[in-house]
Amino acid sequence: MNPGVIVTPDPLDGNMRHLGREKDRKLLTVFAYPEDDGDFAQAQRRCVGVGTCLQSAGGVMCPSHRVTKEEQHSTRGRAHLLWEILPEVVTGGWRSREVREALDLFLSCKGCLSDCPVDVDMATYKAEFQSHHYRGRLRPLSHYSMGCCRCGRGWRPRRPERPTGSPAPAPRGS
Amino acid sequence: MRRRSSGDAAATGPGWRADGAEAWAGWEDAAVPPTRLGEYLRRLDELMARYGLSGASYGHFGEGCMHMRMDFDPAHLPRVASYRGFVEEAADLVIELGGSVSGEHGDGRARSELLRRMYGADVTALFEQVKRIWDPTG
Repeated sequence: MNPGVIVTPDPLDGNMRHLGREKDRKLLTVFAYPEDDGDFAQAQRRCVGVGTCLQSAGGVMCPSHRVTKEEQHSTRGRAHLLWEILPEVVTGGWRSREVREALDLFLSCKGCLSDCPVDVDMATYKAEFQSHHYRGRLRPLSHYSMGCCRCGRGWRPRRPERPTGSPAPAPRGS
Repeated sequence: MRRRSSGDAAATGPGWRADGAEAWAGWEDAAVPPTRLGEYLRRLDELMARYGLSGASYGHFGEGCMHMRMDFDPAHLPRVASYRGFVEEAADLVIELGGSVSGEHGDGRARSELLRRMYGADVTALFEQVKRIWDPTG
């Protein structure tokens, strides 16, 4: 039961997650993170485990956790997994399959942006991750179909067709 | 990117406290008897100033329990040493005033080490006996 606490305590400054060499790793990122000193690692330090994203009622965060009840599908779980890219706990870094799977059910609804008390911005981190994850590789088809929504503009007829049964427009100049 | 706080952050720089500092738990849950709260807060302010720390406090004044988030720096070794020094001195202060290092939350890894200071060797030995009875394999 609960080793390392109460009667055989670990040092209170032992196992500091942020003290490893990863704190100095500066990743080249797609986004600027102006509110985190331009540092992806600092952005990942935002999550201090409050757990608002694990609530089952009230607010909008986090829909995928409310359905699955699994930590990895909560904002907190994802934030910790993304951090683990830095010390290379997860294998493959940006190419990591575990992280991709944890982000797969993430809806980018930005509920965390409004509800998280420390402003964990998972939608941005997911876009960051996917940009690196799929660099030079084919993405899933859904990415292209959603990404190309706006490309469809060119296919549309120039004018809407006349609804069936509506009177023909009067010829101009009559 | 983040919208809600972008206005503040642009003025204050990076971070997630209003003044731009990173803010951490660690000394976030100490409580003293309500009659000693004023003395606790005054002396804690002095202690924080001595360690170059600042923090936002909030909590339950009526019950003498204060929550805090301080700008500890868990990513740099010298500052981690100063974190230990601060927490030890703050624990001694709370114990002197008849309080507890954890007023409402658990002790966990952040404060279990301080329990020996708070309860002394005899009571801690009793804790160990109880733990051994119920959980002999640890």
